[in-house]
Amino acid sequence: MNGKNYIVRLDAFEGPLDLLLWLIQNNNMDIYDIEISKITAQYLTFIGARTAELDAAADFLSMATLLMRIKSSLMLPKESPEYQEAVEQQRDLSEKLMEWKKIKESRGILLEKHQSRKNFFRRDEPAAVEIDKKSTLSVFELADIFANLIRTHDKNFDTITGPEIYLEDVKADILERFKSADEIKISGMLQAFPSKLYLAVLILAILDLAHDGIASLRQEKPFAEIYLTSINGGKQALPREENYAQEVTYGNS
Amino acid sequence: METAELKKTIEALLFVSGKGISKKKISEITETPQEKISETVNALKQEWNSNHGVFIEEIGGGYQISTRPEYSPAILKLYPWKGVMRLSSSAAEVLSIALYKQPVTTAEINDIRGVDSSGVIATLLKNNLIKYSGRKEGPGNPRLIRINEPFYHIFGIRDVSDIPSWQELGGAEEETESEGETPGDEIAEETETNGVSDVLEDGEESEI
Repeated sequence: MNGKNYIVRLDAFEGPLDLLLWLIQNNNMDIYDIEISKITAQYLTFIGARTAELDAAADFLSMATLLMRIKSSLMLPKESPEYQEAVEQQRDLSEKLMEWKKIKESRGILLEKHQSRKNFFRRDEPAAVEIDKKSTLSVFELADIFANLIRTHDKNFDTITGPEIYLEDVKADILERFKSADEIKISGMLQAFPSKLYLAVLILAILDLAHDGIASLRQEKPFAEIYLTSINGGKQALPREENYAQEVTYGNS
Repeated sequence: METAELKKTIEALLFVSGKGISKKKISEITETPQEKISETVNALKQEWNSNHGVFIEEIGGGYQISTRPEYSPAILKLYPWKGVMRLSSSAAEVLSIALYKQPVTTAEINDIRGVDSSGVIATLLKNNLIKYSGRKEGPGNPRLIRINEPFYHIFGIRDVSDIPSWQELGGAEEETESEGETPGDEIAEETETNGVSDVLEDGEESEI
C-alpha cells in the first residue's frame, strides 16, 4: 500500500465506509469485486497503527469485525450457510460503498454550486444561521462566553433544589412500617424514592434507630439484602413526639 | 389575459413572493396556459436584461426575482448577515442524501453516513433547506425528511437537468457491472421526475 509513505489520520475519514472506499480506490479495486482478504488485512493494519486515535471509533472496529467475519466465512465450503451469508454480506457492503461514493460525489457538486451562488440574493432568504458550526465556536469559547455573561451580569443565581427530605419523616415512616411488619427490606424502602439524597437520609435514619435500640440490622452476607428488624415489635418504641424531641437534641449535639 | 397585462401580473407576483413560484401556480392564478407563461416570462427577461439590478431566474422548476451578482457588495453592506451562510461538508452530505433519497428518515441518513447526523439535520431544518413532511409507516412512525424550496435557490438549481441523476453519480463503469439495482434507485427516479417541481407546490400549500 503506498499509504505507508505518508501519514493519514483516522479522523480524515468520515467513517469506516469512507476508509474502506479509500483503500479500495488505492488498490484500484472494483467496489463490486472486492478482494476481501487483501482489503481486510489493509484495513486492520490501518486501524491497528492508529489505536491511539480510536477513542470514539467503535464504528471502525465494528467494520473490522464485519470484514473478518466475511473473510473467514468465505473460506468455508461453498454450500455452507455461512458461506452464502458472507456472499450476501459482501454484496450489501458493496452496495453501501457505492451509495456512499455517490453521496460523496454529490456533496462535492453541492459545495461547488453553493460557492458559485454566493452573490445571488432574493428577497426571501433562508435564515442567516451559520451551518458550518465547526469553524466557529469551540466548547472552550462557549465556556468563556458563559463565564463573561455571569461576570457582567453580576447577579445572584438561584440554586435549583430537589424535594427536601427530613430525617424525622424517614424515621417516622420506618416506625409506621413496623406496625404491619416486624422486618423491613431496605431495598424495598428505596424503591419508593429512588434518589441519592433519600438513600443518604435512609441510612442515617436506620443508624439512628439502631443506636436508639428501636431496631436491629441483619445481613446474610456482604452485599446481600439488609433487613431492619424491630426490637419489641416496634410497639414499645417511644411515642413519636418524644422521638422527635430526642431526635432534635441528638441532631444538634 | 392580454400579454401586457400578463407581464405586469407576473412581475407583481414574483416581486411579492420573494422566492420561487412554480409555472403551474402562475398559470392557475392568471388562468393562462403554461406555454404562454414561459413565453411571457422570456419576454420579461429580455426587457429587464441589463436595465435592472434584478433579473428573473428559473429556480427549482419555477421563477423568482434574484439580484445580479455585481451588486452583492452593496447588498452585503445593507444586510451583512446575508453573506453569513457557509456550508459544512457534513451538511452537504445530508442534503445530498435528502436530495436523492427523499423522503428519507434520520435513521436512514445516519445509516448511509455511518455517523450520527441529528445535529446537522436540526441546523438544516432551522435554515429551511430541508423539511419534515409526513411520517414513515412502520415501527415508531419516524418523520420523513424532504428537500425544501430554499435549497434550490441556495444551490442555484434550475431543474433536474442541473444535477446528475443517481445513476450518473459514482462513475459509470462500476454501475454497469453492478448486478441489479440498488434499493434506492426507485425512489431516486421518482425524485428526479417530479421531486423538484413538487417542492414548489408543497411550499405554496404550507404557506397558506
